[in-house]
Order: sequence, then structure tokens, then C-alpha cells
Amino acid sequence: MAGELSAQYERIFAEYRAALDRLAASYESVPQAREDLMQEILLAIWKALPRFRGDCSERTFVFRVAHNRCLSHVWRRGKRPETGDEAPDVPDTRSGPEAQAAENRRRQALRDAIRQLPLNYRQVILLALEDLSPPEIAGVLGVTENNVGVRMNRARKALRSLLEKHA
Amino acid sequence: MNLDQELAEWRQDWLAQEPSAGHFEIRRIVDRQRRRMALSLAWRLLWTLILLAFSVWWVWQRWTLEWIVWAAVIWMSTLVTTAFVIWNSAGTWTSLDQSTAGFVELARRRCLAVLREIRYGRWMVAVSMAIVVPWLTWDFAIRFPSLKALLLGDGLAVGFAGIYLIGFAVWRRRKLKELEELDRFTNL
Repeated sequence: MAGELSAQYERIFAEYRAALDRLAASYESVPQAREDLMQEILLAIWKALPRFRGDCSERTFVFRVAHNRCLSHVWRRGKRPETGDEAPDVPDTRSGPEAQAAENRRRQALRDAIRQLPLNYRQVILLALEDLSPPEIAGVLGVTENNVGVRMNRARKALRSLLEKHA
Repeated sequence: MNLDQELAEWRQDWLAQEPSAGHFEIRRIVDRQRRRMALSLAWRLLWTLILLAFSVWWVWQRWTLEWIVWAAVIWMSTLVTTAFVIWNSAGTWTSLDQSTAGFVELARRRCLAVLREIRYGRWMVAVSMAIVVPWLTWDFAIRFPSLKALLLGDGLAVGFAGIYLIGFAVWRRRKLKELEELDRFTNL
């Protein structure tokens, strides 16, 4: 049983590591704090895994646990400016240096703007960016699909406006 | 630009981020945390048992009304506190709904439980002081009839109570802030 759980955890870690890392980066701009948060998320998943009965998809389960951990992290941490990180981007070998610099700026602006969104909007937009469907987002957040739609519209509007300010 | 295209572009930028190079040794952390929790629980139990056993031993050695009352007060307050802790923690262990909404509700219940615990703690400090200070004054007046000893005894008791009250105040402030954050999140 313990061996099965351990194998399941290893698989989840391999499969969702990048997504969880992006999630942590959207709550913490300082690299050390981001790693701590990532550790907290992974720990929460490890602890919650024995209780996972398959009543939702594994992806929904992982994002639920991770988002909840991020929320308690933010509440515990209190208010702090959440901009200006130096997370590296994947170098795009197809484009030239200028195009790459522009892409990096755009990605940085997106990260900064997402960090400035209110938590409710940030959650819904992050899940959408990770390609979760509206029913899956509703499952993670424990709200109706209609509510997801409303939040999503507001979140996009807020994000658009923040990105315009950045531009 | 249509909305789907806008979201697709954001998504593309979002997914292009590179994961950090952090090294995560979760199993070691889990083991450490489990040991810490077990130690903390064992320490609490041990402390309660020591307190109860010591009071019994003390009364056994000095079978007077004064010490019998003292032991009774210690046993009573320990039992009442244990009952309160059990009652107060009901419904704060796990949430039925694992979603964010369920988690927020659980976090709120935990916050309220802590605030109740703080209120209880303050009352306990007040009741303890109401018993300890007059008793110490009376006891010192009989055993060590000097103003210095009296002030030292009462001063220590009041000092301890003060430390507890300051701790409770800091803890309460933190919890109220957390509750405020939870409300802000729910009302968005």
C-alpha cells in the first residue's frame, strides 16, 4: 500500500511538477520563498494522497490541494508586494535575440499582472491557463460552472487592464 | 482579437515558463514533521500526567485541607480544559468537501476555534489569578512575613499572567487578520 502510494506520488510529481512550479511562482516572486511554497504544496499532496478516493480526476485533486495550500500560504504570509521576479524563460532557439527579449518581457508582464489579481480571480485564471475546463475549475474551487464563468470574465477583464498598464 | 485567441496567447506565454531547479526531499520532511507532531502530543500528555500525578503525590504527603483544595482545583481545571479542547476542536479536523470553498470554510472554523481557545485561555488566566494572588499573599504572610518575599511571589505570578496575556493578544490579532483575509476572499 505504502509502495503504491509512493509510486503514485512520484508519478504525480513528475507529471505536475512544472504546473505546480508555475502556480507557486504566481504566488511568490522571491525564488527562495517560491521553493518553500513548492515544498509546502508537495507536502500537502503527499499527505492528502491516501485520502484520494478517485471521486474526481487526479488533475482536479492535485490542483485542489495545491491551490488550497497557496491560499493558506498567502493568508499566513500577509500582504507583500508581489512583482519583479527573475524566473528564467525557456530560450526559444527559433527567434532572434530581439524577438526573444520581447517574448521574455511579455511573459514577465503576464506573471506580474497575474500576481496582482485578487485571489479569487487569480485562481480561476491560473486554472484556465493550465488548460482546465470550466467543469474542472468548478470542481477545484467548489463553485458552480456559472460562477466560474462570471469570475472568469471578470478575471480576464482585470488581467487585460493590468497588462495594458504594463505595456 | 477574440477572447479565445487572447486566452490562448496568455496560455502559450504562461506554459513557456521553465520550472525551477529546486530539489525537494518530501519524504524526509514528512518523517520529520510526523516525529515533531508525535513528540508534541507526547509532551502534552506527559505534562498533563506529571501535573496530575504530582498533585496526588503532594496531597498524599501533606494531608491538609489547603492542599486537598489545591489538588482538586488542578484536577478540575485540567479536566475542564481537556473537555473544552475536545469540544472546541470538533469539526476542525477535515472538511467534507475538499474543494477551495470547503477549505475556506474549514479555515474559518479553525480560526473561530482558535479565537474561542484564546477567550477561554484569558478567562483561565483571570480565574487563576483570582485564586493564586490572594492565596500567595495569605501563604507568604504566614510563612515568609516580609514585604520583599510577598512582592516577589505575587510579582512572579502577575508576570507569568502578563506573558500569557501578551501571547494571547498577539495570537488573537494574527487570527483576526486571517479571518479578515478569509472574509475578503469569500466576498470577492
